[in-house]
Amino acid sequence: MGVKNESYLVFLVEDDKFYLELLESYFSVKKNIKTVRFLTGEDCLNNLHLNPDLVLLDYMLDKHNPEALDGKLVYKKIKEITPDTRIIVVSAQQSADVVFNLVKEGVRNYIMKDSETFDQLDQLLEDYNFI
Amino acid sequence: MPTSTIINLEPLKKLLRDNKSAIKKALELFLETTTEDMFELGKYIDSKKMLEAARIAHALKTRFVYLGNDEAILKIKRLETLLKDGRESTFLEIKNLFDDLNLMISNCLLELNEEINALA
Repeated sequence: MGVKNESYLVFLVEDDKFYLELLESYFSVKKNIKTVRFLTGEDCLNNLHLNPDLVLLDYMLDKHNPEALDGKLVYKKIKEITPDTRIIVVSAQQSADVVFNLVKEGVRNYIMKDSETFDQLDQLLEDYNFI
Repeated sequence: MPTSTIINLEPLKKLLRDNKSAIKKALELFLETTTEDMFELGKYIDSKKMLEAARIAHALKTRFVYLGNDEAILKIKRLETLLKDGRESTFLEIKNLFDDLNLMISNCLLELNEEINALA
């Protein structure tokens, strides 16, 4: 659990530049949170040495490359490398199979990309004591 | 700012706390990525690369939530479902749906361009 007013590093892993901009804007007013953006899961994994406190992870990464790691695989690898890092999967996936498989993999926080996304994110950050 | 008829920027404005430069940047990215995606989507459909096309439709669907055009979202959802199923028998429906969507999105992007110019 975090401590309010401490500084936190959040990785934003999202291949959609528009959505990434929204996420960055959302975090930009949270003065104790610094963000680093990644367009692919591979880039995120290569930078885990920066020791993020939280990773916001899209499920479908790199829409132009069907061979790219998806959110589930990236989640698994982050948990292997830095098990204490908190991860929130943020995705528009509505498929019950996808969500079930994520939960089976250990995902505890899954937020749908919709008009409520940022309210839910606020709630989780409060739960973590980040804000 | 012009009064929009087919797009509703209120959810986006609220999220970006009415910050004009942030709204402008987001809208420019929306325009750029959506133009690219529609081109790619058409290309993938024409070459019957359904899974690749479905990935693009998925990205479009998420983005349109912030443009408040429910009709476009419903059409994109239907297109994504058909593409994921990838049945040869629905190819004509896919093509027609894409053409409808292309027209609808082109109009949205024109309106969006006016919004961006008004923010300049």
